Amino acid sequence: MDLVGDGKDTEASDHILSRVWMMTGATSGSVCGAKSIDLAQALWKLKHDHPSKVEEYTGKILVYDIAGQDALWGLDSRYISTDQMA
Amino acid sequence: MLCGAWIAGTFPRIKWHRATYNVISWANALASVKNIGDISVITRDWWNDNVRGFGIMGKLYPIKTHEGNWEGDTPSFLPFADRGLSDPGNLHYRGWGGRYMQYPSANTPAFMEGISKFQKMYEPFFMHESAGDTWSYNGNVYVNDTRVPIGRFRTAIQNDFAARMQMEYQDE
Repeated sequence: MDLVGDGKDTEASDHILSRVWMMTGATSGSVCGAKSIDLAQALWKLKHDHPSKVEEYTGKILVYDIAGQDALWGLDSRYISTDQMA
Repeated sequence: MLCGAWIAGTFPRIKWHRATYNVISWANALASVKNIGDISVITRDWWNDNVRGFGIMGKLYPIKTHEGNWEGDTPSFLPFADRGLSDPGNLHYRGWGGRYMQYPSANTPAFMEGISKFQKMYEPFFMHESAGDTWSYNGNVYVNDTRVPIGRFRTAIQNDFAARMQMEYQDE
């Protein structure tokens, strides 16, 4: 996965990560989109900076993916949104 | 470069739903797909009468693009629409976004075959696939049919859409 890593943060990946940190208790995080590269970067950073938190926080995330289209629309940022976060 | 497969494989605690059949069963009456349930609410006339005639947004509503299958991505958004009959974390219960398998399966294909080959390198990964359902409508019985989860709620979904368009019109 060379699409994620150091220096590849985006406005969207920063936003997702900021929402991930806000999740508490039994609340679930959800992402809906035709592409998932920003989510991938946010998760890469979570794992890189805070490996001990990965298990807890990823267990709260729900994703609704539209047909796995990210090979086609992988660089198009229009289709991502977050909801269901505390 | 399929991030979804990489994410699901690297972070297996994430509950990943992959809509596939949901997209097809969203197709309207102009599409080549034979959908089931109340087809009268997905005709060009229906959109003209219930959506396009109302308000600023209605006038802008495009139905010429993607002839026969517009808004195919909507079912993946609908788990967020809290209409009382859906639990976003338990989509095997059914809901406006369709229905998904209760348990994840390995190496879920993408909707288009051409994409699936790109995710081989991230195997194994696990996702919740779209599920079928059983329904009887107008004397027809559909058993474990992938068109049922959207089809059974189609009238309710479209009525809600029409009501929202007309609410905007009332506000003008």
